[in-house]
Amino acid sequence: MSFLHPLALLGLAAAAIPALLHLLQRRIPPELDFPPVRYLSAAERESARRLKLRHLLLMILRTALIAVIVLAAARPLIPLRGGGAHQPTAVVIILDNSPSSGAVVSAGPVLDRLRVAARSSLARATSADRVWLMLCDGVLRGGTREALLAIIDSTHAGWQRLNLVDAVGRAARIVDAQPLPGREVHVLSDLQRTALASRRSQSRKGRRSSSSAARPLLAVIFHNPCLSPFALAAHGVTGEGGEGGAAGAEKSLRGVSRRPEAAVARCGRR
Amino acid sequence: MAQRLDLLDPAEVARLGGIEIVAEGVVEGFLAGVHRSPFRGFSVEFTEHRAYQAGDELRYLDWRILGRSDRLFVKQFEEETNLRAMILLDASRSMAWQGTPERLTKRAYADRLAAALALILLRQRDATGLVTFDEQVRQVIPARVKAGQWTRIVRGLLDTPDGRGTAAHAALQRLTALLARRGMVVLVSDLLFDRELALAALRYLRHRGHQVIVFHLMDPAEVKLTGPPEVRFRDPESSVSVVVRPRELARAYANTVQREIAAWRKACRRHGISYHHVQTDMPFGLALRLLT
Repeated sequence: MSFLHPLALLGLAAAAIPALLHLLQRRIPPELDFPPVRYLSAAERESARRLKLRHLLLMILRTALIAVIVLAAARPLIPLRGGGAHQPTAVVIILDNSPSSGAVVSAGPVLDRLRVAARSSLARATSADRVWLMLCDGVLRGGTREALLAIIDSTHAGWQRLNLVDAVGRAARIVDAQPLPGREVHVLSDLQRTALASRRSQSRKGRRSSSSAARPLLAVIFHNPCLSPFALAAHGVTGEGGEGGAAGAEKSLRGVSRRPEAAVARCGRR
Repeated sequence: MAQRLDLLDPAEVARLGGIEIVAEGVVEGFLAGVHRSPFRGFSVEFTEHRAYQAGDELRYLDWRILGRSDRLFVKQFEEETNLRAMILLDASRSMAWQGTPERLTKRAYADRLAAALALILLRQRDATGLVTFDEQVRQVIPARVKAGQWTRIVRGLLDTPDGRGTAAHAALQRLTALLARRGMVVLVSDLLFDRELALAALRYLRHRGHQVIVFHLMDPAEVKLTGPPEVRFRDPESSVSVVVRPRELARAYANTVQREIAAWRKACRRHGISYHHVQTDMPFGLALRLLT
């Protein structure tokens, strides 16, 4: 498990607040005359264990509540598949091998990182799954896992622009048509602004955008029926500004879902 | 139509005046609703003298007075006194407590209840007396039926200050010696003392042939625990204190109180003692009616 905002984990120190308040609390309660104190003492003796347990549980609950809030603020990334057995799933892997993926970042082309991610997605597939691969040419390639691995390995940065919105829409339709209980769309892209813009806006300002420097981006979209009907998760590595990046991907790809209000999007900067 | 004071809120009635006025008002209302004497007694004794009137039987003439003063007086006898009642009033410090300023203290309620009870008994020519006690016996007004007895009882109530602790069982044991003749004993108390020791004294009274009635007085705030989120409650008698959160302990406390009341009731019933639980917001008339 990793976190999008690991610094927020410093807030876990706040989980100690309930315990500290309990230890440091030195309130002097008001004093009142009450003749039947003997009944009170008896009642207190009888319920001492119950009250002690209740106080302990209350403190644990308060501490846990703060910890959960802090963990949520740190935005954890939990792999949905642990590598073990999973239900038969229809998977479409969209590998963005558009020209920008050939850019060299951190001593290597972006495409290499996208390939690694694609292999990782394929590695989790079992014989019960149905897997397709889509490159920036928009052609849907089916076949065995080995055949798709070979295609991934032989893929080079192409010359065509990937229209990510259209590609995800098609992929969603494909997996939706499958009679399998699991449906996933994995998008592996550098999330260039040009990949996310509509055709009309692309024709207007595509040239200006496409000239921006390549930014290493990785997005993975899961179409998970458990989060019905279209759960969208994008793990992004974004550059600075612009319509591209994780935020733009989230905005653009929400439109792919048939019921956008049910879509769940997780995008973040790394 | 005039309102019956015996059925009004005790605190409201208490605002009308002193103990005498309140008690008289309550008794007027109470007797208007009672068709027969609630008490049956059996004591026999001389009550008082009165001047001879033509037609009086000579056998009741007091010859000694005639011999000494040459005046004719007749003795009024037990025929007019059918009960000897003694009211035992707990005047301990715990009784001088009220849950809210709008209510009477337990002591104020007990004073008025005792005065009303004494007035009822005296009006039906029952010899009535009063004993107030805390750790010690404070006031003893022997049971009499003669004129002015009620005033003496009321004065006795007024002259008894709020006490300190309650070692009631010790005082009750001393009282058993004072109550030589059989009669009715009415204990008015909050019963915040050792139950077994107090019951031993009451059992002894019962064994001596007394009819024993216990009024267990409680303020409503003693039955249902309320208060600030956290509070230190201190016993005014023993100064023992305990820090509690009333909201947390309310249910357990209510159960404990109910158990205590049930234990008193059961123990009293076992020994032939009448037990009545009375809260200080109960109209006096209803409390008195418990005796009928």
